[in-house]
Amino acid sequence: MRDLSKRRARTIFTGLTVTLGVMGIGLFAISPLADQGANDLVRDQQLHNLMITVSDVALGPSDMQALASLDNVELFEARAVYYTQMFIGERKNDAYIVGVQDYTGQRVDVIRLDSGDAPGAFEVLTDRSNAINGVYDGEERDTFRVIDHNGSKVELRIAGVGGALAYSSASFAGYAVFAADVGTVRALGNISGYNLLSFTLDSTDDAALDATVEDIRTYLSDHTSVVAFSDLPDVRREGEWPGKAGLSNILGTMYVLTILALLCSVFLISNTMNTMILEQRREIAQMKAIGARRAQVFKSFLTTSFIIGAVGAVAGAILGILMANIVLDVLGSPYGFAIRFMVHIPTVVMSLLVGVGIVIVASLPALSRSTRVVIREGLESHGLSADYGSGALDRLLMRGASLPRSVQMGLRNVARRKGRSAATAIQVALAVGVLLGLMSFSYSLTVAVSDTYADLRWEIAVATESFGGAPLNESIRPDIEAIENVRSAEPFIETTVQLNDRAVITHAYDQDTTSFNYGRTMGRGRWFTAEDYSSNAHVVVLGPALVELEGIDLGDAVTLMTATGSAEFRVVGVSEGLMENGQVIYLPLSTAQDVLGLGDDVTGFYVRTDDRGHDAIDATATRIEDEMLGRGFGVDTRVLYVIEERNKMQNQAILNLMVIISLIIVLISLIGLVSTLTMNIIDRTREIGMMRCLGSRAREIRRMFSAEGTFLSLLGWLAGVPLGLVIAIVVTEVVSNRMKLTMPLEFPLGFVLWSLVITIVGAVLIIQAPLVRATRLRPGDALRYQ
Amino acid sequence: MVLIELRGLEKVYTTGKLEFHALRGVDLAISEGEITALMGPSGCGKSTMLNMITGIDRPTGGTVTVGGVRIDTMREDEMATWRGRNVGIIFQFFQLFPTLTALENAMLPMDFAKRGTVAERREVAKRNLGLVGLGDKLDNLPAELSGGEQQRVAIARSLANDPAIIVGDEPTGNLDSQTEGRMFELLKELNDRGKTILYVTHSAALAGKAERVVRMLDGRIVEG
Repeated sequence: MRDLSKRRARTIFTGLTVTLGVMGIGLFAISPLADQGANDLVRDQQLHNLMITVSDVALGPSDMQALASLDNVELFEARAVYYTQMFIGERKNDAYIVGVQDYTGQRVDVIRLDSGDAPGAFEVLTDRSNAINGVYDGEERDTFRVIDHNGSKVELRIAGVGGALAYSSASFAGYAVFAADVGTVRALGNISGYNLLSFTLDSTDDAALDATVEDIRTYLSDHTSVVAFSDLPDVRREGEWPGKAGLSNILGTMYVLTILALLCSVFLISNTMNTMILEQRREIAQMKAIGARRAQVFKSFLTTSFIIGAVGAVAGAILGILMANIVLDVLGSPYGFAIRFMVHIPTVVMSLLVGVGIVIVASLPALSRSTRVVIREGLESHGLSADYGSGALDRLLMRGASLPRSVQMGLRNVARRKGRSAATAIQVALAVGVLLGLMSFSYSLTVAVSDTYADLRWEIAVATESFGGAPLNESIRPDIEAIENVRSAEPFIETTVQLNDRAVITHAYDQDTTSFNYGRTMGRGRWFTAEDYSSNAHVVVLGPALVELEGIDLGDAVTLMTATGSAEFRVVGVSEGLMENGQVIYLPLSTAQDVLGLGDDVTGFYVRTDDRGHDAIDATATRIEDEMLGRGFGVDTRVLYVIEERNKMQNQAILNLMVIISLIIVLISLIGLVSTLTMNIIDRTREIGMMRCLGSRAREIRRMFSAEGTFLSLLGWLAGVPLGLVIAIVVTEVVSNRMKLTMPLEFPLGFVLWSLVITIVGAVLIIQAPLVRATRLRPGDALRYQ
Repeated sequence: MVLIELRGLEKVYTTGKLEFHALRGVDLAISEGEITALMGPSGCGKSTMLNMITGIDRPTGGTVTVGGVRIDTMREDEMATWRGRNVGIIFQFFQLFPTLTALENAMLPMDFAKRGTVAERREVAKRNLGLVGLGDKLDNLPAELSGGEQQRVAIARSLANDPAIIVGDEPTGNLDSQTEGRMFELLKELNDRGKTILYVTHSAALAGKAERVVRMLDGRIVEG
């Protein structure tokens, strides 16, 4: 016990090391906490198990009562929702407004208020995820305009901020999500009753679900105007929640980092404890000299280790859980998570056990060695090996006679504690590896995303309105091209088909398309020829992920299930691009029209503009919508720069998180470097005194330890570069597998050089603190140091 | 001519709540070229006084003047430079640097003082090691030398910057009697060449070989 206060600085330092090490274990809590938090929210908000979209239906109190009393139905709530567009500056953005009958009596998909008041007439709550996803950042008391069913602009005022999991995820997909009172939504959408029916169920197994859906369908057709559902029912089974798949993909990547952090922690703690025990070899010899048995020495030192481990583990567990909550908040907020602070008990227990356990286990080998040392040798020990010079490395380091003496001494000192130096170099290697690996991964992702967008040569996509718009026809192309600032418009078809039970998006481009630079990413095979277009050939080009997922290859025949039936196609090309995460099928436009029986109809037009300024693009998109509406075509527009910015922002949030976690790993490793140098300085306190006696100034001492630290860092960097490549490959592979995309790995030489600069500068900066101690030592105090 | 002058020297060590008076108003003058032995029981203040003269420790009170220079008021780096150039120190446990060869250890004070070129330093160190009979072990590391040989390297190192004063804190305390005799002969030779020698010893025989013996008790000089 007294050992702790005798070497206070060393004890604090070791405890801090354990704390940081154990903190890394907290990352394991993220996944279970996400589940725990989501399930809490599911219960708190009574998240639906079944959500059914219907056409406008009037439901009286008896209908409400009847629907709520159906078999297997636990709770029921009807709402009115309205999909529309809002103005953000001059730009239109998709908006989704949910109308609630009574905010105080919500039963299913309960919308919670974060701030402000429940909305009154022509007021809304803005969803808490709107700003996080970069969709809309309006605040309380702001106003904005939406388009009502007449095409008129109606001003709405923000009464507060809130949301529910059921709707927030639409914000992740780019919709601005709002909640209003049902009267407001009815007025905006010209709805007389309800169009969204939400249920929580007692059972969500297949048979019970099917029966309940059928019961609802029967009741509605028997008692109301509804003859069919407007869309397939949205089903949520027990244990599922919105965003779970997305979050689990990210967490899969995080686990790689978590394991690396744990590895660093274990290494750092072992290294520190080993150093601490070996440094006290002399005191162990003193105890034995006055009659202490090995068991008594063990007990004494293990008590010290236990106390350091316990204090460090408790502090580390607290920090780890804090960190897990922060990370979860960053990851979950885009999906509408507003999670209270949570503690994951198993992770806390694991942190405590691992913290204390590793400290004790790491102490044992060094303690065992130290207690076996002959008492005389132990008493003469100053913590340094006396056999320097016997190894090949020692002899190698004896070279370099042209270096200043203090630098020579620094380099040779690395070999005096080979085990400790190797452990430190490995830690630096881990830090460099993690940094380099994640930098390369981030760069690869950024390049891949940027390249994908760079391949799209359009500014605005004009498409048939999502809900009930009339089909567009190739013949309106001149009308679009006549609109101010439109340079060209090219028809396209975007539709979803089934390929071996997998829903896949198809993009059908016009002959000689100028909207998509397919050539850059064309991997194998070919793009479509003029003959393919003229003969409506059944040929397709596949995205890389589909090739991998479905085991299809060039020349194979594939059967696609379309809205009009199935058709067989031949694979003539394989793309390497990331469009739709590599899960895409390209078709000739004429073939798609033929197979789908569309004649000259298309699903939209890619528009290029003369002025590509954002304001000009926004204004053009609005003009196109207005002009098209005037001609009887309800159209939605997607603006490429907005999609790109939002996508990059969502990626950036994940990348930022990776950077934070990797910086924690780097910090743990740098602490390892500081730990080694501090211990080396403590070991060599008497030598520092001797150097002072021989006329050394602070500069020489600083130079000696700097050389030692820099050399160790350099060794670590050398090992870290290949490790970084391995980490980059593993992370890229994990992300590609989990997210079902193909992403080429970039490992730029510039990053390798940067990592060298960062390592050396980081090492030089980080060792300044222990160096201050070394240079401030007075020779008399240093020589008296025991 | 007085080379070392101590006036009213006090040194108090504070450990926790305890104060230990290692030196209690010591006055001493040592002339140039003198060979002086410091004797006394353990804890009497011998090593502390030596540390004051070499500037390794600072006095709590009084003054230390060496070669006409007040060293107790110097800054740490200034003191280190002065010490490296003017005082050669020999320790009981040799205190050689284990990663440096005998030659490199003997060059070290010159490296710190940046004296001459590297080649010149090497020549001086070789000459000094030759003087102590180690001309054939220049490239040996300390671990490859015996205790006596290590102490001779320490003496060669103390001569590196050709200092006027050589001090030894029990310089032969860790050696057998035969080696001790040879070591003292070396010190005597250096004294004959004009060096002022000051050493701490517990050995009456070794003290008896000095021109002057200063005896200490409880932080005071009681004789000499």
